[in-house]
Amino acid sequence: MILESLHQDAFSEVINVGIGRAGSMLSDLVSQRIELHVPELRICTLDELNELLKSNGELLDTSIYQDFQGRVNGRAILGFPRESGLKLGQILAGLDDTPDELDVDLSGILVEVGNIVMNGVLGSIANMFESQLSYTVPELSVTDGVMELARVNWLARPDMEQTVIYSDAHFSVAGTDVHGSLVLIFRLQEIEKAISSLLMATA
Amino acid sequence: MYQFFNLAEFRREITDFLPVGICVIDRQLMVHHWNRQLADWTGVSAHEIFGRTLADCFPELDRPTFKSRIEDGFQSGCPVTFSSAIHRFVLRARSAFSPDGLMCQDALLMPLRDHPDHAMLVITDVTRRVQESNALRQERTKLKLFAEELRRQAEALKVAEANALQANRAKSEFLANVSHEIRTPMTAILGFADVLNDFEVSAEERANAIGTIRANGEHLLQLINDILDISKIEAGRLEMEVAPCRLPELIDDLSKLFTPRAQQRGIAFDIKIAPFTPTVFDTDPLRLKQVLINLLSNAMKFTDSGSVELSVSLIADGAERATMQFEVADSGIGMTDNQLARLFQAFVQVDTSAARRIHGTGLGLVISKRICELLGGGIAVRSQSKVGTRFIVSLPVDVSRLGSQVVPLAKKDSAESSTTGPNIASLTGVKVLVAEDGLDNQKLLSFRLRKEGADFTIVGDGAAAVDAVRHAAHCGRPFDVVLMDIQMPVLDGYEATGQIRANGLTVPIIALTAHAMATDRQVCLESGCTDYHSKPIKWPELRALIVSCIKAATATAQTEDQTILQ
Repeated sequence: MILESLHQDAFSEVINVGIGRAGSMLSDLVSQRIELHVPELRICTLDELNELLKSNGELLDTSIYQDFQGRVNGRAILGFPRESGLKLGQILAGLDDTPDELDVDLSGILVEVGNIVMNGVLGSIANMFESQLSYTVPELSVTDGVMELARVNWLARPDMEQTVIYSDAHFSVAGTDVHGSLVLIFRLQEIEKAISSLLMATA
Repeated sequence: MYQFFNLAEFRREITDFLPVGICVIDRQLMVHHWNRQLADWTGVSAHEIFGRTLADCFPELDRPTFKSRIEDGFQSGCPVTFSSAIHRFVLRARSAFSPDGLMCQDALLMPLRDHPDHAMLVITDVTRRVQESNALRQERTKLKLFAEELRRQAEALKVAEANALQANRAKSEFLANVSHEIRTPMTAILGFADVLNDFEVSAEERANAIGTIRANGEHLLQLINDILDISKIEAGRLEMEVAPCRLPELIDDLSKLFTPRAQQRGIAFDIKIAPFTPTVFDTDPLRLKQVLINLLSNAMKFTDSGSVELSVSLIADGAERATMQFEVADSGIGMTDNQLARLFQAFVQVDTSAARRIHGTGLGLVISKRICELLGGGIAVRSQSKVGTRFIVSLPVDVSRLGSQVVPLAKKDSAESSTTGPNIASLTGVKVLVAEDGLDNQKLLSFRLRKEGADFTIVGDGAAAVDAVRHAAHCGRPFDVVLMDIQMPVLDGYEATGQIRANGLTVPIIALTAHAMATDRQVCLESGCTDYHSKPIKWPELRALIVSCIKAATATAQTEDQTILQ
């Protein structure tokens, strides 16, 4: 598979550029240093993603997701365990104690954080493919886990498989490490075609 | 194809109809569309803002956090969200629902796909939602505090439960102890009663058996009194009856009680009264006597050789206050520091070993301490193992109430005690009516009165007693004294006494009752009784009471006769 063999590193670089931009933007937004880090990308199928998430043993039930359309179609998901989502919201809202539940304020903060991170990543991918993409408005889900959001989407087509780019996502802020997961789902055939075109153009 | 910067009228109406603020801007923030809602919220009309940038009318938008995000949105074509929690608002607007009058806004910048240099800015008023959320958060905080308080109370309840269990265990141990204390004398009483019933015994053996039965009976009585006292203390119902206490009488009683006991044990018993000790002072005389009897009994019990000494003195605390001090010192076995620490704990015996030499419920000192506290004073103790123990009872007294009664006592006391001893006349021929429904007590009183040579009649209820007294008076042979049980069938002792007095009969009536409360005595006297004796019957005391009542009645009758003659 082209994705696995040749371009994992290229994707990693593109995504890290987007993540770096997002970190800088978040730092400006809340006037404190925030470092975002995606240590290692994995490219896998939806079934493999399912096994991976199960083996991590954490339920990622607080997720921001956004769909994109264009030369490549897909869905981006930034998922957190509830406790991590609350912790990140607490730090960015400047609250003294970690709240028990996601209220209106914390939900708004998480959506904005997800929006900044996913814009960074998706903007970099669009630039890589030199393509204009259109996006849906980011949404917060607190009922479905990441796996449900990955499986139940509009991408399914009989002639297309789906592939997943997965990475842990670490937010270091105010001396605290908050972790989550970044999941990008593409139609495999579309992204392979886009990469081939890119390679040919580069050659 | 959208042409928002040349909007047709119907498109304008659509955006004007929506309950959100909508505007279209370009990369320089120049405004191309401005819906009615935004005009209402901000007070800036479409006419005013067209041809100007947003930052001209809303300087807050010049902040880098906004500008960089908006630029990023135009560049990437990605939607950009602004949450009210971070930015509070994007375009300054008024809201009646906000405490500071400023609207809370969520905003979305949506670059237009076919016009990448233009974007739609959608603003939602979330002021009420934020207020409700804040109120909810406050309620949640209150609930958390409430839950914390409940948790604390549950903890306190657990502690209270543990304490109750501990108290229950102490009570169980106490009951086991009391059970033992009752069974021991009861065994002696029943055993010697069997001996008297079943065997031919010599006069000496008989006297010994009766003495043992009596001593054990008294021990049981003391135990019952102690248990009643401790239950009253625990219920907070132990009340003191303060009255003048006559020291010579108190000392005389104690001397008569403990001198024979000291002689039996082969130890000395001395009483020392310091000079200028008052003969009369205010306290509860009966309760003080109870405390001193308890301390002296303990001292006698724990002293095998040497002496027990009671010292009484008055210590001045100033011009108006003074303390009566009663010190009981013995040369007995003494106590260790550990034993002293447990001395005044309820239901605790200093020596708890099964093989302890001296038995008891461990209540006497607890009761004594509480009595002294209720009288405004206290008990102190000093002890040294194998050397002896010294208990000091201190009771505050009002100097102004002592007056001239403060006199040296030492010699007066001995003189008084020698002259004021009992001088009880014979009961031979004395006419006595016994009103008593209990057969055993009827038997006991019959035996005593027969032995004394009294002329007695027994009735079984109050109504019969009233008839007997009336009949005797009518026949000109009135009774000299009536012994009146209180709890009787048909007519109780109170009613019977009342009816006798209502008939104008002044015969002395002595109430006999198992109700041992101080208030019961008062009720008996108020119902017309002349005096009161609490059961069980202590014959020497009752005999003395009979004699004194008859003497008093005779003296009154003589005075009345002389008055009539004059």
